[in-house]
Amino acid sequence: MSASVSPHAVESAWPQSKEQQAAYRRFQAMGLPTQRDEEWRYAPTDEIGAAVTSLLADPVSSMRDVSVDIDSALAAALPDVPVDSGRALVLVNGRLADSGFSGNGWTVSDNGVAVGGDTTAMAALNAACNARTIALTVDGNSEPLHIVHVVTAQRPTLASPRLHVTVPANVSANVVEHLVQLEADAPTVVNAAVWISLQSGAALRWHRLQCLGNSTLSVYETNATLESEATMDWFSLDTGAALARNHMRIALQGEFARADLSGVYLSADQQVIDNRLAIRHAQANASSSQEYAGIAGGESRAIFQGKVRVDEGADGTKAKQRNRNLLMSDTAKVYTKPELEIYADEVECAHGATTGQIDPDALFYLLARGIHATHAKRMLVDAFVAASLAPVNDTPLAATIQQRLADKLAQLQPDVSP
Amino acid sequence: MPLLSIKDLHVSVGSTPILKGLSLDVDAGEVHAVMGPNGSGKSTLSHVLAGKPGYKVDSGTVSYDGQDLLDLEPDERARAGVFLAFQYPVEIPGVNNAYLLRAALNAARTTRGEEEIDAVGFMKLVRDKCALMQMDQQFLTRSVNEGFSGGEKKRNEVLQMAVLEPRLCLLDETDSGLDIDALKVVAEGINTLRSTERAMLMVTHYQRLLSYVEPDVVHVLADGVIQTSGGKELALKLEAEGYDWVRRESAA
Repeated sequence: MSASVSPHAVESAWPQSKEQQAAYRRFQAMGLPTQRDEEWRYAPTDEIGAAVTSLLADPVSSMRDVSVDIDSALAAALPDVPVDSGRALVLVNGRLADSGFSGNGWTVSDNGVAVGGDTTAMAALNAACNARTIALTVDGNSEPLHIVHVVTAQRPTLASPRLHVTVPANVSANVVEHLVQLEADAPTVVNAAVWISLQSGAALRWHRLQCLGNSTLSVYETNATLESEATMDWFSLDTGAALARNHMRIALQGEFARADLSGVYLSADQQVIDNRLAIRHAQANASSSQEYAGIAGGESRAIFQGKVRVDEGADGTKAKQRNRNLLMSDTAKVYTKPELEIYADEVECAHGATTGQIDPDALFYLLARGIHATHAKRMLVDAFVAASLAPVNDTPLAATIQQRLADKLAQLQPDVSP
Repeated sequence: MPLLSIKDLHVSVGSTPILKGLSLDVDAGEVHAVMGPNGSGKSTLSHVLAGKPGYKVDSGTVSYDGQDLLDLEPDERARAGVFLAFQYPVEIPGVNNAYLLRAALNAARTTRGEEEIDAVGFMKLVRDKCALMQMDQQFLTRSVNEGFSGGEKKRNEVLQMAVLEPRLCLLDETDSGLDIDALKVVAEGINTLRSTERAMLMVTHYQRLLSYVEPDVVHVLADGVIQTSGGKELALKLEAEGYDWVRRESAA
């Protein structure tokens, strides 16, 4: 099916509405991120700044709608995951495409007003680029929702998806989100802003697979709020993009809320993958965990900044944070910064970070048993990522994730010396 | 032709020479023991034969089954039938014992042009070998050597050897860290593997293991060369008199 994208597209002038203009002024006031900002310390902010500035020099062109055949785009971008266009919410360059999405328990509207105040320049820019927010909600009998971000850069492109997902009280929902790219030729920035609202007792499982083109810069902000007894199980796999910056803010606003986050990220060549997580325990007896594993080869940079804040009075908090990194070359760099900020008295918090190479003794042991070098290394890498992959082992995505890992590791393998 | 033939082998670590012209032949069907004091180069010998990185072969040759052993990568050596039972078996969290064993067995089989073993055949084989080593099968589902006691680790080494059926077994201080019961089990496992097709080279500091696994030949390694060789009575003499007399004789 061929579809052109939403009627809210940029036609002539930009920013259009008063709200967008106000957001643009906020963006200008806050300014593009620089490495002087603590939260952007290790990222190539100059590159982001230059790319955004260049795209904003001709905003009408860089945000122009494109027409894409959805079925063939899905087949091309996700050859390894059969996604039925009728069951997928497809965004082309950030704008909702008419894919004939039929709901299956999900209700979508793009009439939603902007949510929340944007606290970062990039989120303000996202607001300036969107007249509306795509709002999603779900009932108790939903099927897993595929959200597919298709980026196609036939010309320099600024894609600004803006989503608000609400899971009502005591409803369970599953989301699988893909970020994929059809052509990677023209300079592309993806600047996403996603809000997740989990009402009391809501349960959300969200698995996100990012495999954007290798010249694309992606800045992806997620803001989740969890009311009492709400739970969120989050998994992300990052293998693509020149820069993938994932900034998650999670507020545990109700007692006994739980957020378990895990992620695996692999960077090659000159890639930069930057995970920034901030979890705030605002109420008592909530729990959270972070289990992130990074593998960096080539001259890439893998960054993890994880912060847990426990507010005064949030007694009974349980928070765990772990980031482990595997260096696959002498020139790759890893930055890891786990942080705890605790203002309550009775809490159980733990954090840890490690960075190392494949253990040469373990590798020799496997070789001495006759296992081929590539297989032996793969066994050790699998063992390394096992804890982070545990939450997705028994899901339909498991095979896809394994394949993506294998493909990316094959790219990293030449950098490994036995 | 001997299965293993080492000629005038010189090996150093960094700038320190460790083996200084070691020569040794082992025929198929024979069990040789290499004994020697600490620091004599015993472990270096077994490591070099298995291809462990960190050792530099300065000169000399090692032929195994007609091939230049030193020319092969460590995994190629293993698939060609060389097995090193480690003095300190490595713990590998997250890699399951059964998976390692099956991958190792299949790598060897496909190299020999045989079909991979199926799951049922593999489980039967491993069950039998576990019984031989008096090991609980739950070991198989645990991570390689993780949390194993010293004795369990050594038994696991011999279990792997029993499953892989190598042609040349290098046993590096396999008796160290074993209590007497575990020593008997390990020795029995080794004895079961003695065959006319297979050679064994046991590197050991003490005579203890040799009471249970009787060697055909005993070599005394000191200062990087074989000082003297003899029958199993040589091991008893070493146990009774220590190593000093060997050095005195060779100096004389």
